[in-house]
Amino acid sequence: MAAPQSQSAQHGGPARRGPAARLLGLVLGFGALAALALVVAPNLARALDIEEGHAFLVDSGIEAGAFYYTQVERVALSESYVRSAQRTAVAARAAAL
Amino acid sequence: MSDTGENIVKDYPKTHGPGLLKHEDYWAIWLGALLLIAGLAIFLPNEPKDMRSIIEASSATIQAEEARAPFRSLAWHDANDKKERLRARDVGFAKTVGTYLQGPKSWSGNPAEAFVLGEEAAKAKAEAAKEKHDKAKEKLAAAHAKAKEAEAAAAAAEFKDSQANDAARAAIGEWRKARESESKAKSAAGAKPYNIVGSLTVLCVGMGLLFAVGAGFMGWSVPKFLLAFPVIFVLATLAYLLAAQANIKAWGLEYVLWAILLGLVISNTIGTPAWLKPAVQVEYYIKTGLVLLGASILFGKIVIIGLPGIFVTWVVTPIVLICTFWFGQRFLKMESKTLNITVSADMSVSGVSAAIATAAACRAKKEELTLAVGMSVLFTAIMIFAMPAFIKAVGMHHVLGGAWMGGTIDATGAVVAAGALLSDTAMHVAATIKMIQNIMIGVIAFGVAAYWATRVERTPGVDLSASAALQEIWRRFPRFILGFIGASVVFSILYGAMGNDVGKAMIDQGVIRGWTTGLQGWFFCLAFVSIGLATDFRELGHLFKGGKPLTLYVVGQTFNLILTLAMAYVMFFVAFPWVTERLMGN
Repeated sequence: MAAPQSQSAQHGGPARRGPAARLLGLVLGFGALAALALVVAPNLARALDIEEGHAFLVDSGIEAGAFYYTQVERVALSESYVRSAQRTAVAARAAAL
Repeated sequence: MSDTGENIVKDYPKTHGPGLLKHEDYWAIWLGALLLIAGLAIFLPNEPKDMRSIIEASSATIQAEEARAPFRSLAWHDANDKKERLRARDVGFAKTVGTYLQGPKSWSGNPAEAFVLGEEAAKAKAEAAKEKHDKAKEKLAAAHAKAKEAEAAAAAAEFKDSQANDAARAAIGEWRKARESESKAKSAAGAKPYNIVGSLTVLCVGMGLLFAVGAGFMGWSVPKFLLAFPVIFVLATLAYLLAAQANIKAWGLEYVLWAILLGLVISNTIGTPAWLKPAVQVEYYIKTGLVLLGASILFGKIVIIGLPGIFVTWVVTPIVLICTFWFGQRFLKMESKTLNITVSADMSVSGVSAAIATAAACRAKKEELTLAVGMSVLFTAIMIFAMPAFIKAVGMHHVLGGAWMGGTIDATGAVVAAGALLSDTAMHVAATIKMIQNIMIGVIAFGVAAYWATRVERTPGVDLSASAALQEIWRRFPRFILGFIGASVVFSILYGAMGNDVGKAMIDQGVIRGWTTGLQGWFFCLAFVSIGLATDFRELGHLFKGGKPLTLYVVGQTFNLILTLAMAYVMFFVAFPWVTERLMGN
């Protein structure tokens, strides 16, 4: 038995075009992605005048593309700093009262 | 939502007998559980050397320093650093295991360096970085001396001179920055040759075999699956490669975006080859990844920042989610409820991770998930730079600004980046708020699944009181969500039982960051490559008709920005200003 596939998986791309046109589309598509990654993204910061901030992030190595806290190293350190601030704030408040 | 076969979750599995071995929902749970047990077996016996005595001594120092000085002293930082270095993932066999989960390394000009760095190239890199490291070491020594002097002056005044305290706090801050720079320069100067092609191959084989076990039990053709899987893996590796480019990373353009785009280019040009389709398994990968994600939802972390954090995240976020969903149904008249809730959760909770969990919980179409993720990535890239710039321009307090960014920017990495662009204090507050919000994903996914089972998809005429309601929920509830929630409960209990310090070293910095995070990232990447390979551009265009999803996102995010700012202000400046005062000491 074959693995189940969704309807979209079965569409298999635009079959009406010829093989050469489809291959050209693939090359252009990958070319566009490479251009976006290697040309547009680096230069966009300059164009938008946020080069300094962008350079800071490049240099800092912060995982800005990570979508969950376990993928970002700095969150662990922030956690201990904030825990300490919270602990001392509560202690100081209790002493003041 | 009809069961046409286009959803993230397609049907309702049987809960007994052969059904337990025939459905992806259960296989996601079995594989997830197997991996979590393996993770615990690998990491828990590998305690960092002298862990307990280091924790005891460091905690005593930290406690004494917190009582002595109104800011974090040099001794406090030294003790805290010792605790932070305790990571089960850095010990013995666990460390070796971690090397097999890594994706392409960060690169800037030469993509080959993401995979291989030869001996000569490593030597040249190290030599080029040596001078910078020497200078960084000098700066660090000078900054440390200055910080020591400033702290001594503050101590001489018994920490009662606010100017001396501020000077010491600033000097210690400079020392920390110098220390971070030195650490980075040191690792550059110590560049070593590497070749991760071998470990990637092992990972590909391992993951292929793991998924093939379930595929076999579910009656799929195992040879066909194994033949196609390496190609999906290569595409996933390419997605990671693009996301690892330094500039791309700084823009916050996540691997999920590249995975979708790579798949889309193939499926919409040459078409997804028939022989590849057996490994194009969105649901299988995504659900297994979600069970692993459940392990990192540690409920004990909710209270880190006390009531202000709880109000900014656990009160504001559900309000924004529900209001945005209601707005989408009532005013925008969204045709698809699943698209509406996926975009609403994606925007209000935490971007991609919330979108994945919600889409799976409500059985959204994969095109709907793609659209939600695409909008999230785009808006995140804008907000990384726009929010700190705005906060600076209006002179907003950095605790308020940090809380605001933490509650509104979708992705955690982007939140940390935006916070770092503002200040260290803003970064710490923003990162913590986001982490607490991340933990909401489990509750949101459970709530959405329950709402869909009882309200949206219930059989017409069924009385939802008493036992009939429970039966209806059980029949329609996505089973893998139980694995997701179960993993969260088990790991939260384990973490709590170990205590924060041991739990952090063994669970957070062990099983989770050293094992489940890496695997879950790969599984999601495989899922998003599969989504791209199974998606027709025209479907996306159809969903975007009238720009309703964009309007929903923009209106919801505007409401989120206003409500989060208001709540953060009330919490940090009206109700708990004494917490804010201490946070500024960071």
